Amino acid sequence: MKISIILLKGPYQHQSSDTARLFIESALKKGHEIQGVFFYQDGVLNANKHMDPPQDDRNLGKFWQQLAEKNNEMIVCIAAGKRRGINEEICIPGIKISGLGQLAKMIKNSDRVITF
Amino acid sequence: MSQKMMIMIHKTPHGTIAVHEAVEVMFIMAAYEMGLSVVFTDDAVLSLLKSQDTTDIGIKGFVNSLKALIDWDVTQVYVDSNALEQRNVLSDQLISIGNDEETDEPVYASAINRKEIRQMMSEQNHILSF
Repeated sequence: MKISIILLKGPYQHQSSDTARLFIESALKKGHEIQGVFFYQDGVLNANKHMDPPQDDRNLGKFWQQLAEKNNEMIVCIAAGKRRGINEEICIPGIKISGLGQLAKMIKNSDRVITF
Repeated sequence: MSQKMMIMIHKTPHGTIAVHEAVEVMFIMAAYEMGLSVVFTDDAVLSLLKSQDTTDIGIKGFVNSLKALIDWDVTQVYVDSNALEQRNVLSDQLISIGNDEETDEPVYASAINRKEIRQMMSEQNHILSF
């Protein structure tokens, strides 16, 4: 099944990013395809490459980067990103900054869209 | 229309940016012809109140966008009648979402109950929740 993920919450403050991470890991293990991940609202803060949590904690930034390195389509909404200071300079390599039109395309190509 | 998409809005109008950014999503989904319908439910029904004025809290707000939904081809707009009742809001207190293209009469969000919303939800390919 082709699954798209929409992430609306910022990292660490809410459980959403972690749940999305665990969901993506499980879905991939079960042989599903992640059509894309779209970061919107405070979810755009997940794309901040300067995240540097304590060593004994999970590193969400690293997770998103590794997912992007595996050629998964990952997009930060440009308008939501600009509001919150996420630009090309700050964005995790491999995550693209683009518009909501990309979300529409992602949804069109997905069997399921799951919002966290 | 190959797909049907519903945007459900739950949050209070100005307590978070959720409704504002949901309105931005509506415009794009309508432009991409996603078979869009929009439902205001829970505290989000207050987003449709005529008497909103965000001047004193220093934010731009989104009510002008909501008043022009029809112009942006967001035409299937619903409001949860049960949520209105629970908050003591009458339908004549709500803004018009634009004017009918042919008659130029004001158009309003259609009030539907929870049962009808459930039915509509079951017919969707995708539901985005804000």
